[in-house]
Amino acid sequence: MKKIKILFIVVSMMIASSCGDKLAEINVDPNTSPSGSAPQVFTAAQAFYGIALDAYFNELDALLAQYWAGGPGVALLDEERYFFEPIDFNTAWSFSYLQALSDLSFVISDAENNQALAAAADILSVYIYQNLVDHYGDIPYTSSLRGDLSNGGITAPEYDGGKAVYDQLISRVSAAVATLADPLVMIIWELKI
Amino acid sequence: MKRILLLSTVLVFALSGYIMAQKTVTGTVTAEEDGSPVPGVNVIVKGTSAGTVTDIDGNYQIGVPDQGGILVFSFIGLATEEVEIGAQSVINMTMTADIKQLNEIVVTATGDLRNANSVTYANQTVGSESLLSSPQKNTLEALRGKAAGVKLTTNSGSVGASTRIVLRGEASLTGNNNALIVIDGIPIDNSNSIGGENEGEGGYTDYGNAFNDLDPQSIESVTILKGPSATSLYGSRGASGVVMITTKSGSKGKMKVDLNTTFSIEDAYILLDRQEQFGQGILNPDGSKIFDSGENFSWGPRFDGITRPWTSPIDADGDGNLEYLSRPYEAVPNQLHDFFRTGWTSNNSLALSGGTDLFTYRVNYANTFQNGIMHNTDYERHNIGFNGTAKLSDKVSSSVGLSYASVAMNTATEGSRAFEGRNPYASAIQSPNTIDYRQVRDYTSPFHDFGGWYGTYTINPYFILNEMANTGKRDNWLGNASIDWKPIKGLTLATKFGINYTSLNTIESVPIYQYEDHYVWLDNLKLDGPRSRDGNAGAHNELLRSTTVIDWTTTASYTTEIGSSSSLTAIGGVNIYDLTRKQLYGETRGGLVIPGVYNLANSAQTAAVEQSHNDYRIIGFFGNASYSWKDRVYLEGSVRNDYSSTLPVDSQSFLYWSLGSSVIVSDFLNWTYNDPISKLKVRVSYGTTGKDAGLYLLTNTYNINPSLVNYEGIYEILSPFNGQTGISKDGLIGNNFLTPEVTTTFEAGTDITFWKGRGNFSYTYYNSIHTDQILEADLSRASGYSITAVNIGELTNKGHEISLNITPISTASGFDWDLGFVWSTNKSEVTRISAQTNELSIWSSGRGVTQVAAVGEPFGTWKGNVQRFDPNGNPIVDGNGARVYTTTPEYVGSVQPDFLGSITTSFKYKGFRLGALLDGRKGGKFFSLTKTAVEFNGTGGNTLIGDRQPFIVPNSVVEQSDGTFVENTTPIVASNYLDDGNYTNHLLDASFLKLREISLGYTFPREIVSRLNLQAASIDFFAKNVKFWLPSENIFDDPEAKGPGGSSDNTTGVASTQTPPARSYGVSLNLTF
Repeated sequence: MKKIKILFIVVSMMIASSCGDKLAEINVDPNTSPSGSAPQVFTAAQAFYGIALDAYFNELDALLAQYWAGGPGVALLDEERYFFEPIDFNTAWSFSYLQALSDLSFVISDAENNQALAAAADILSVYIYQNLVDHYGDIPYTSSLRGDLSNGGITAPEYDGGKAVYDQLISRVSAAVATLADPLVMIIWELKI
Repeated sequence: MKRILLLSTVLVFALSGYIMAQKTVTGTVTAEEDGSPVPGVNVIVKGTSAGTVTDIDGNYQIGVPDQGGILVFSFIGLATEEVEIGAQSVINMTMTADIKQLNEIVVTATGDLRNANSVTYANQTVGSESLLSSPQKNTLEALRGKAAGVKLTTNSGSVGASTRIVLRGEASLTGNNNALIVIDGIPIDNSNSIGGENEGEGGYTDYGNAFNDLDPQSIESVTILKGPSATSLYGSRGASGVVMITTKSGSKGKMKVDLNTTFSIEDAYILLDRQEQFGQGILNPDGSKIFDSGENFSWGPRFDGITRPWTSPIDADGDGNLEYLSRPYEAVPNQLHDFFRTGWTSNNSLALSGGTDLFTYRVNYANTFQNGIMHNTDYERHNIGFNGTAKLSDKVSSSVGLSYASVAMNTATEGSRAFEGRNPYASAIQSPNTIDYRQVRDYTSPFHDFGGWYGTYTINPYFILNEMANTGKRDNWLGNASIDWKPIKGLTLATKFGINYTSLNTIESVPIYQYEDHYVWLDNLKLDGPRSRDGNAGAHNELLRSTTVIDWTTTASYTTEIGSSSSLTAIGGVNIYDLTRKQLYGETRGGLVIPGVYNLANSAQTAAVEQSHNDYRIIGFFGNASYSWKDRVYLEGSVRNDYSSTLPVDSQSFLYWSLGSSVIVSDFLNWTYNDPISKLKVRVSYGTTGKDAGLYLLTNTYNINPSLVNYEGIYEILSPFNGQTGISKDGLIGNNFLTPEVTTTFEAGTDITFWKGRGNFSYTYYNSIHTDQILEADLSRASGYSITAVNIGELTNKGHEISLNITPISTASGFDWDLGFVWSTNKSEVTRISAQTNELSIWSSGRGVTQVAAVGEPFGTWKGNVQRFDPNGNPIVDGNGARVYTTTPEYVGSVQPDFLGSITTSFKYKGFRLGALLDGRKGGKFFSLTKTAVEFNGTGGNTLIGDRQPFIVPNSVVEQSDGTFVENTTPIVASNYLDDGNYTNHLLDASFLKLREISLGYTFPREIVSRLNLQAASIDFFAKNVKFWLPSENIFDDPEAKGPGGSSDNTTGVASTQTPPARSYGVSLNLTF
């Protein structure tokens, strides 16, 4: 009886200790990758932002312009009648921050390996932020894109004033342009490709 | 023939007599109720194969051994009797009815049978007799009205629709609230298969869930486990309650053959009320109407009965002249009903069972064929099963079960609007009331085909039903094997191994088609056009999904007597549960190349492929101890420690426990059968249950070649884009600090048996707090992420459950009237979400109405803009005469009902049985997208406001800039009044009262039955969904239609043009050989 008891305890402890690591292995998502690679992430950012620009920003801008121009036979949808839905504004915002800018921040953080690409990502980020300021006014900038715990865990960033953001964007883009103008950086980039 | 039979019978008796017997015993078997002889009773000598059957007069004669020997008398429906033969040579026997036995035995969470008295939690076991008191197509329907606090919903009336069982209210804010289904101790994979060419707003296709694959005829009993001690033995997966199903196994005796055949016809039950005064066309704000034969709008001129053309003019016969069909300009009577056809269902099942002292077996085969009420929809299922038990030695016994279900169905897309999707019923609703479906059914006729079809904005729904495929096939294997070893008295070591393997294959295709430009008729036979119409480049997709569940439990249990009046049972064990799911999905892109070839190679652009693989494992150690004193006082405690793969390594392990007690008060008071109350049991329990997280929430990941944009399933742009691969950061912040959810429940109740066993009453009060709810909380996108899983929510559920069964009338002549009531109420409240937010979105209608979980409100609260009134209660309107609404949404009710209740009643007299089941719910609101559709297109019964002329909203006022109100003088027409951009008006009262079934059955008397060499025979006639009573404002939908509405399985209360329910009428025949 005692032997059986001991055996039972030993076996269950064995199972329990192997539990932890084996179970953790099972919970690794096989459908995704644990890390990204800067060139492909940059491509994704471009693709996402292209769609945001074309299907959301420009479309809304164009619809409003069409309404003001008052062309004949123009069908009126909800937007021109100022029947705005949250989705009209949220999707553009989401594509800009969540998809494009977030991916670009990964490329920028990988600057040591891809300095030229990081600078290009900087410039594209500035372009996106500028568009955001033009459309929304005050936007989160200094505390944006820092949701991950290692980055500060800011899940509800503060809004900065539009002008303050513009000032920062100008200095940022100047720095990035200077990096790209550096011939050494471009040589390294060419060698990589 | 007769002589040979007689000769062989004599031979058999003689031989058996020669082998076994040394003396003969005779006797007569009579029934206790009336003393009449009982023919057909099995009389066997225990432990041997010697047996006989009583004759017409109840007499028998059997050879028995000289010494010892026990005679066993058994017959279906009568209590089995055993008697020692001793020195007697004449043994008479009275047999009594056996109905009470089943009530007293319950199945516990550890799968063993126990006396109901010892159970310390609310436990409802429904036996097969009650489940199948009237024939049922699937198990969910069989459970209706049988247990309290159980919310059963079927997605819709379509063939093979998914089902959902929620016990005692939703326990999880974003997790799965469906009860765990356990079959013979193995938890099965019951996930939904919802797909569809146009998932999202455009509709979805429901391929059902595995629970529907079970053959109701093979169920022995269903036990609903809700209390903490009940679910603490099932671990995390049982946190939402457990529905434990035990399938039939054989029993000792000669081979018994059960045959059942059922056939029923189904007729659509149309709940939508359509107006029958105005036809196709458009309503202008001044009240004038324009007729337009291509419109789906019915805002046109009033019906006048004058014959006019209604199909688009085409040259049908090539003679150079245009032809068209004409009909009187009036509503088609029963239009929507004739959209459907009469469906039918047939079900056959055959089971062989039997056994000896050493082994028992049951083999069954069943098939179900169904033709749905929608054209070209059907469902076919075959079930094969085997259950066997074997006594390998004195101490070792084993059991094996294997079942296979094969399901194949052709179904239709349902839900939401007609235009973007391929939903035939939604198309039917979007049609004007002048379209005769009996003619349009001929969809290949030139008048209803791509040229002559009347509509500019819709396509022929019969084309959708017949030419667009939505096929689902599922193979469902369930196997279990167990061994029990009793090495010493009181100790049992058991191990049970089970596998559930399901494979699902769905195929969907849309042909290449193009509706031609057409001309439409306006007023005075003028033609307008050409108008261009819908087309499709074709599409094809296929999904292969396989799921394997392995469940392995090993237990050791020890029972010992303590002193003369107490006993203690202790159980300890370990359980390993592993789930693996693999999925492969491919779809064509950009359309098909060759028409009619439905293969991924036939894709205009490269076919898209998606692959996914999910793994999950949970290991649990559990223990349970129960102590009983004089069979009057019971104490029970259980504890379980789970290790789950979905939690971070540091918090993978979580412990939960429960404690319960029950006291049979009536034993202390010495109340017996003759007292007014013969049994009074009081029970109380308290405990916790833990629940782990969803898959893959712990780390940040990157998506390779993600979907770049997916507009509601209508078009999608995928990476690689222009040949360039993209990798994107996933929007989930991995949370490595997750801890499990915890539910703490307190439960107390009582069970009373009164009136000499003619009455049974049960009451339970429960109070559950669900804390540390794991929510995928929405984050500000400006953080660069969209969601993260956190333990933040808290939810409570409190309620009462009552069930009462009485037999008010039971006369000596054999007339019985049984009545059953079941009633439950649950108060759900979200007590906390997070520090940042008080609200979580569950579903959004897209025009301001959302379903949320909000602090201080029940789970599933509706939120929308409400109508504004002035201080005197007058409705405020704007400059166009239209109603004005608040700009800040308010909480306007929830999906939760005030209470649920059922009444079952049955009258029995001499073999006849007449029964009915009434089921109802009060309170709660649902969102009707059907109402939205029919108010939009003017076919709804409520669109005749002001007789379609401009009218001033009664008592309406206009707000002035200084805040005062003046009387409104601006009229408005019905179409603009109803389509005012606000959807809060589409929240309707979800109450209902349904007469779910009426059945009349007859059990053939034993004399007739045994003359045909049968053991039992019965026939049942039944009608289902006989009548629904709905609140007067609900002239649109069945409030029970669940509809996914959104991707979360928790979205309930959205009716979005699902297939309506159907009335069915049928007959069922049961024979036992």
